[in-house]
Amino acid sequence: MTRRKTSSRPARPQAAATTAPARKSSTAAVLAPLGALAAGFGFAGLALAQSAEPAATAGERNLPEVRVKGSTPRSPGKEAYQATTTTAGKGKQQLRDIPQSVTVVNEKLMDDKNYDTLKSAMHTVTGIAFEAGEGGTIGDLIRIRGFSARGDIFQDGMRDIAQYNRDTFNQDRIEVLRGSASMLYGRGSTGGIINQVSKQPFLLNEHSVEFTAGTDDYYRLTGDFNLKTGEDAALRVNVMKTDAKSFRNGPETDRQGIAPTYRWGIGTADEFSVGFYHLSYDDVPDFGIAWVNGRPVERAAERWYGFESDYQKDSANYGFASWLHRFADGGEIRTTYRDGRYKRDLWASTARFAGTLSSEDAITDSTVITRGNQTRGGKDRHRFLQTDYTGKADWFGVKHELLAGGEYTREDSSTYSYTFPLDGAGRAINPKGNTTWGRPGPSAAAADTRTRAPSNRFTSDTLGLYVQDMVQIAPQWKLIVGLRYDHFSGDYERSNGGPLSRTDKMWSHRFGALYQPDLSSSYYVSYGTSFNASGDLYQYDARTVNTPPEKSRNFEVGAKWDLYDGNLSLRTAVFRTEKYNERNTDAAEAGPNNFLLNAKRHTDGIEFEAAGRPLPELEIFGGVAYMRGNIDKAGQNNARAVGKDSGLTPRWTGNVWATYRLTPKWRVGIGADGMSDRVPASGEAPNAQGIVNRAPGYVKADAMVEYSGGPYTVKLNLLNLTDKIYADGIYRGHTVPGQTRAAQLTLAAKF
Amino acid sequence: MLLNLPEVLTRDEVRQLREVLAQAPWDDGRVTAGSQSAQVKNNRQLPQDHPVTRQLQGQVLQGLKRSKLFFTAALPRHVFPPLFNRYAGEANAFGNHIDNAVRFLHDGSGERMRTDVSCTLFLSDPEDYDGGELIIEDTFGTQSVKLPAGDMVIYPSSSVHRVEPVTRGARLASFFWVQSMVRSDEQRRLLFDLDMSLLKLREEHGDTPAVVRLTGTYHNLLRMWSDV
Repeated sequence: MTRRKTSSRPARPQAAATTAPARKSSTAAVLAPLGALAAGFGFAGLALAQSAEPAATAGERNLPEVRVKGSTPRSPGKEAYQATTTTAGKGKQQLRDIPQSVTVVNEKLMDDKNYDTLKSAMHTVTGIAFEAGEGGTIGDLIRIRGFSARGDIFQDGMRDIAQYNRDTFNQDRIEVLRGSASMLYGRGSTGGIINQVSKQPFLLNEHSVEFTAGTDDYYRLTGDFNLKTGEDAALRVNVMKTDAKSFRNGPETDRQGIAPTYRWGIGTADEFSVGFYHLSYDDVPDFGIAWVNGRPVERAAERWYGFESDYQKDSANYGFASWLHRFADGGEIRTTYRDGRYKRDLWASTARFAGTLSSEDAITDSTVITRGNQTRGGKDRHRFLQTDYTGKADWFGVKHELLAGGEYTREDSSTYSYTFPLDGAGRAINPKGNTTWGRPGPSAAAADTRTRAPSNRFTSDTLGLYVQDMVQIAPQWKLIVGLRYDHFSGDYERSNGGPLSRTDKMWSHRFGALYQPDLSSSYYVSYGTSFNASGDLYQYDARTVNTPPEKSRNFEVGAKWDLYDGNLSLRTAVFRTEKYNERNTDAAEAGPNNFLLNAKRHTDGIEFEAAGRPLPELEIFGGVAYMRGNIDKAGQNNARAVGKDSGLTPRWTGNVWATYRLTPKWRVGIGADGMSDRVPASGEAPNAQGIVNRAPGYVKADAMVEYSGGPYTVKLNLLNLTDKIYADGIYRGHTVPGQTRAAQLTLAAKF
Repeated sequence: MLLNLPEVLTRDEVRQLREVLAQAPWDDGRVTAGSQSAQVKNNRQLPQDHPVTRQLQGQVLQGLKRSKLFFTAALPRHVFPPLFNRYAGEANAFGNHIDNAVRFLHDGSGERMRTDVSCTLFLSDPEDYDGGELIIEDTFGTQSVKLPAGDMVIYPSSSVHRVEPVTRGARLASFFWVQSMVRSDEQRRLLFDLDMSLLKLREEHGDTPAVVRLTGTYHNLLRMWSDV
């Protein structure tokens, strides 16, 4: 008889060697061992009855699940709408341990709803509205709680600030963390941040190919190939090709992407991954149509007045290498280097009405439409070296969950503009002539008379260091204290005027208290700060360079519950997000050399969201938010905006989506999303005609039916069932209509 | 089948239990022992009917209720109200023995249960004491088990086992027995392995037709072998 001696290390004998405890995973929360189901209900009626069952009901949820070692789970997001963990707070954390609003849009939801862009996926998040760009900024323009998140988009916890339209083909999930988060992410983040999480290789051979064809000549082909290449190594390659026209006659998209990632040491103490991401497109962009009498022009929803020569050609390319080390005590440290190059090039047309119209009804076929040029270009290079540590400690008998890290970032951005030949009076000659309402559709190509002007170049270095401690001060109470220091220095080389530079040294804070009386509920209060440095979106001028960062803070009280054995997550939050020293121009006081930081705005609100599977056949995702954005103070130049609703802060935003599995093979889904009326950003005060542009609220509905037979799936999506006409993105000068009714048929195969 | 169930109790729960146990009315361990075991048993134990014991039992059962692995491995029909023991000082060891095959429940009902599975839930951390290993001789050889506080080991009650002398510190544990729906250890083991494999298949491939059929096989075996 042999004898195996186990010292202080836990014995993992025999069968135990084949099992390992799993931290909570949503997959496992749905799947339970059969024996547990069979035996569970008969459990010890005897013993329990006898023991008077003190507090035996608490903590029945969130069962410690069983996972078989070696089955590195696929992305749980492929299986369910509900998420229980997130990386939105840096490191991997339970959602219930984050004292802020977090929404996780999983791959399954994106797949079910055919969300092919980041922007489309954001329609399922409360508190979001969309800005329509003009030439200055292009790409995804998302507002969270009324505050621009233009610089607050992240990829795997690292800033993804370049201007482009993001696709979802390589995203496992998209996490939206609301409220000030500079303590975690550095500059920016007044309304919150959007963190995209890449698809990760896993230890199985599993491939899928999907093809979607839809109305408006929509074609999209995606492939997701995961190859187990060794005992603990795998390669995953995602590819995408989309070629689609629009419901408007003219705009189109033609884009492709590839994202190979190789990961090895999976599940071991040292895990590595290297990868590359490429996305490029050659689109005909949609710059909408002007407001008429303060309202979007509904009849323009399917009319477009651009040129065949209009284009938006952007690309994003980055490579990364990442090392994750797992300590024996459960701590993890991840270090990633990413080097990305981004290009953008735009020549688009804006359509405006030549005269002032009293209403949409005044438009006739001969109404003149003028067309402006939007032409911009640029290229960026962003390099990040970032390290994040998560771990636990037991100091003086008190449990601590630690989060610490640092980043060193070099951002380099060149921006071009274009000039046109001048006429005798010194005015630029616009190569894009007028047209009339009765002649929609793309006009023949306009002659390209542009000359590229010298570029402005912005270079910045960021050093950020942060530490956060979550202390278990009592069995049901946790306190969070976090602190971050950022050293942000930017240099600006201007084509006109001399160089400018500025350095900001900022501290950011985060405090929170969590009360978790049992495993299924968590209540919190939190306070966090954030700052917007003058150069955080790569621009300086003589005034901004003399202006210190804007500051914001977020107060929030919320609750998160897990119901139905943890299968349904509910959350609610009441918040105040406040930018209390906003930059503004004030002719009287600010002078030509600096802004004043005396403006202020805030958004108050309440949110509810739910995600999960209350019944085995039913899966839901949805939420509703009520917000009140208000401009509290402004400089003289914008004094008329004081007291007005903040732009792009719709009072109501909401969405709901539910799928029901009728039979093992048939599944149906239906849902709706929408928002109430809103005004454009910087357009809160009446314009010269005394009108406030305001886009009416809308609700649009979608539906899905899916048949899965073995490895094949056929799915039909119907978008905007009622053909609701609505303004999706809005800007001071124009509105961009949202997708009208459409149908998309998807064929998918897994092998 | 010898199986380690990690974190049946959380650190907080263990800490609370130990606070109560520190004040508990310890009794001589021989009161629960059969006549053979009584000769080799030298430890301290909590009286079965004491209100403190009842309170602690509830807490352990609460942890057990959360453990899907416990249910699936033990397939319990009856769980004996957990007992608590302490090995320290002079009362520091329990020599080789086999647990009594049938036990009376101390609930006044006079009911009996068969012990199929033995369970030991560790309440002291290994670094807090020397010695005190649970040595189990099962069909695969002799194994020494010393787990972190909150972890539990289950093993066939038919195996000979002992607790090595504790030479430093104190070893606190909860121990109890399960009458399983499936009497045979071999059959339980087969069911457990099948169950775990099915779980893996379901995680990886979903409920494919083959998985559904295998699930049926599991249930049919359980039907064939179980006694409820």
